[in-house]
Amino acid sequence: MANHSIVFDKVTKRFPKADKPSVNEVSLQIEEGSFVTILGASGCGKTTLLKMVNRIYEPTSGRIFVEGEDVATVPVTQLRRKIGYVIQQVGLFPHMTIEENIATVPRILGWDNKQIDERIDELLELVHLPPKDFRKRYPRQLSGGQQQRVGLARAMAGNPAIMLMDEPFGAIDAITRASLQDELIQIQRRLHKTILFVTHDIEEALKLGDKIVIMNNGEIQQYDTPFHIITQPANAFVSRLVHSEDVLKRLSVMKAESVMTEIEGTVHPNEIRVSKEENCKTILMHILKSEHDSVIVEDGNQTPVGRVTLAHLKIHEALSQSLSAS
Amino acid sequence: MLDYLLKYYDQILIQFLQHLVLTVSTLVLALLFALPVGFLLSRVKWLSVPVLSVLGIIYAIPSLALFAMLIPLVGLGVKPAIIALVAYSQLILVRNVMVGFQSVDASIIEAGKGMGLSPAQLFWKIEWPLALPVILGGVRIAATSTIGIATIAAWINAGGLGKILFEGLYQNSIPKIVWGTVFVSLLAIAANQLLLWLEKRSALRARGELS
Repeated sequence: MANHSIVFDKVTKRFPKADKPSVNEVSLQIEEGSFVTILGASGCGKTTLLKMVNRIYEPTSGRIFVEGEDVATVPVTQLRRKIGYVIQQVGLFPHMTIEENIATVPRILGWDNKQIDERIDELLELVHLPPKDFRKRYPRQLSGGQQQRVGLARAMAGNPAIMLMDEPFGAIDAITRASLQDELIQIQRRLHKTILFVTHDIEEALKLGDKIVIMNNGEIQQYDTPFHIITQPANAFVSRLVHSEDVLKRLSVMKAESVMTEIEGTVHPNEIRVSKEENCKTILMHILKSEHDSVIVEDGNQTPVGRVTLAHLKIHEALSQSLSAS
Repeated sequence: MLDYLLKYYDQILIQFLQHLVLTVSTLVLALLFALPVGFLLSRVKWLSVPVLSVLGIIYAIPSLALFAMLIPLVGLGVKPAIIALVAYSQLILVRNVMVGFQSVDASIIEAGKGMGLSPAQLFWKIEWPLALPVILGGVRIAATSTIGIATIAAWINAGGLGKILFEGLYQNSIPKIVWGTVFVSLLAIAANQLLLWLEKRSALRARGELS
């Protein structure tokens, strides 16, 4: 269990007066440092599953381990202080400034003022809110997207290894949501947090998750990588949910680095460049708009490391289609 | 008219202060009871209907009748007056304290809990400052109504500005009635304005608009 950050062991949650359990005998292991999205329709038990980790809800039966410890045996406040928690409604404290909001957990943990001060700046920069403009502001002076950035910063303030996120971008407009998603991916890549992220948005689940948990009726339907979910849905429910016949959706879960080949011949100066993490759907869009039939893939230092051509996309698409058919 | 005031200003001042002390002690004692009860009702919802019904019935008893009822039990003077005034103010105070705590957005509480705030930290840092405007609103209404009802307490020897008013009625003395009314009104208006100011200030603070 050493490298499993969160482990669910036959966890069941039955609310009083409900005729069937919200979460039914779920066993699940979340690897340390992985980004796992939990996908399902409302009422499928995804939020209940998430909220049992930090004991907002207590399981009816079964056990949950966080970093090897049974959560039921850890004092609840102590457990929560080492788990970041972000909810859709954000829940910023309206009577406190942004810096006071972010300082909440470090204060409780007894950090000294200088350390807290530096942490606030560091976190605000991480979520792209200039500290000098935002520290002294109040939550009501911020847009929804900015508020959730602060929510994210506040959740990370105590430097937790684990983040629980309950539809954090659900109430945010599509454009802001997309950039928040991209930033969250970058933050996770950089800081290696273990993230458990609940969403009902399939695109979001595919885009963000290293792995996806698909839930229905309180049970896990499939727990796998986006690529396998699309190409090898475990059952009819999953397959209906992700519409695996959709070419674009299949391309959207393939990353540039898994498709690219070595660069042969010259690199044209106006050939479009993409990062290794870029998905193939976007690459296809680039190619369609470009005068070349290929794009150059570069690493974090903007060094070209490979090339993706239209032909590659065709081959991989055909391959994944045959995988999903088999 | 002004002669009366110049001649008896010391008596009126004493009655004014008695009235003030009666009101303030009533509110302090009433809050000692209403704050925990109101907070409890905000948590245990099913309790609110029976408790508020009982307080509503007490509130409906005419004040003169309640004072009279208390005489055989605790005699005359300030004691029965305060007991009755505390009882009357409970409906308003308990209800506002309860509503105050209920009005704190559930997502704010959940975020606080999820961050690992202890129940005491959650109460003092989050719930109390956010519920305060509504609670102070209750204190304001209770204060003005207490000042009003306290005039009748003079009838059971509790002192206060009611004394001069009752005397005015019995003696058919216009100056006493007028000055009594003026000073009771002044007290009520001043209390209302002071508490209204505190209420607005706390509301601005709760919304993050106080700079």
